[in-house]
Amino acid sequence: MKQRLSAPSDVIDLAKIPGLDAITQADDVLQIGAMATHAKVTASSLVQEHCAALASLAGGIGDRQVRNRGTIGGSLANNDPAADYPAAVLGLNAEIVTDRRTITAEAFFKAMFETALEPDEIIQAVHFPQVEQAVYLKFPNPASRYAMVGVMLTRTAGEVRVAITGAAASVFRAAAFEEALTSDFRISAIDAVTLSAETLNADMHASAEYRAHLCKVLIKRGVEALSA
Amino acid sequence: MRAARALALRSTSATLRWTKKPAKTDAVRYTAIQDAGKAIHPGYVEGQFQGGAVQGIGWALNEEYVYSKDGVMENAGFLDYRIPLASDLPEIETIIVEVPNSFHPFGVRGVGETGIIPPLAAVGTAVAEAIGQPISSLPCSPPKILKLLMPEI
Repeated sequence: MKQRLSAPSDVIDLAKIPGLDAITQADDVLQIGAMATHAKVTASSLVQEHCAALASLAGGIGDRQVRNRGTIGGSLANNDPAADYPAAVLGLNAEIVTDRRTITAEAFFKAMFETALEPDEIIQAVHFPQVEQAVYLKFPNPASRYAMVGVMLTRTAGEVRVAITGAAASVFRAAAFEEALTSDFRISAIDAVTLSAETLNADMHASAEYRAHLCKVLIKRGVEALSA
Repeated sequence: MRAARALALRSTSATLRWTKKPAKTDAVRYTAIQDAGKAIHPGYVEGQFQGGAVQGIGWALNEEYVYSKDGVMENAGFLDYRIPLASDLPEIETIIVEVPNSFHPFGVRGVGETGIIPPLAAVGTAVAEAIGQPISSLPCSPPKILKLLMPEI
């Protein structure tokens, strides 16, 4: 609304609905309620134990004031191209539970500020399955501190997922990097892999080519971190 | 990662941490040295030195006005204007030199809005030393430095 991207006739506050901000765990699946604030997620010992990378990602969103007000459901429904949570949801292979169905991460993010949600559909929670290893690396925009590029790199049973936010119109998976790292989880395996700059964002802060370069640098750092 | 140090106009010392990829520079230590004549209120004098240093570091590393082809400023808000925050900077150390100004009854010299030319020179020189190439324009923002190192990007 502040950016004049939408002008709703009414605004309904979901903050006081009991239980909508709950964080629970059952059968290796972590459930984070849609109204859980970033501050609550980062401080939750359940989240820290289930996936430290997710807790640290939440703790790096915006500033303290934003983290005390902003929620995971709000961030996902908005699908800002430079937001952090979309990378977590896609990289960690999470599912979004609404008032009527469950949507996979792949099907949820459609385009810039666009999701699979119907106009009257409400996110209730996000389900994060167990992953073996995960790391989130962000290069913040020097002005806004949003992700210029943010990479969520995960590895479970040898399968690698690479979700990138900030670099394009919407979060995406870097398939060529995933493939190369799944068959050989070493930095040398991605030496020859490149990310095309064609579909990436270019603005006053960085060219598309710079972002493509930055993606690879961060993926390499992620591999290094998970190999240590 | 490399550290480089430079002195400019005998008034500033900057130590930077420079990461080759993605060509990002951070100030890790910064000392501003200036003649205040007589520092009547040393705390305020220190604040002026620090303010000037911070503005200079911002200009040297990131700040710039971006104009569109038709002359409209494109980064007129803080979501786009790259100003340093307290969390981007080290404690700015200060050394107040006091050589009395003989033309003033109290011996003071002006210290308000400390000049920001020394930080630009100090930071620019330190970055040039780190990358092994001269810097001919500011700011030393990561995309620009990377372009110097990898012209194909």
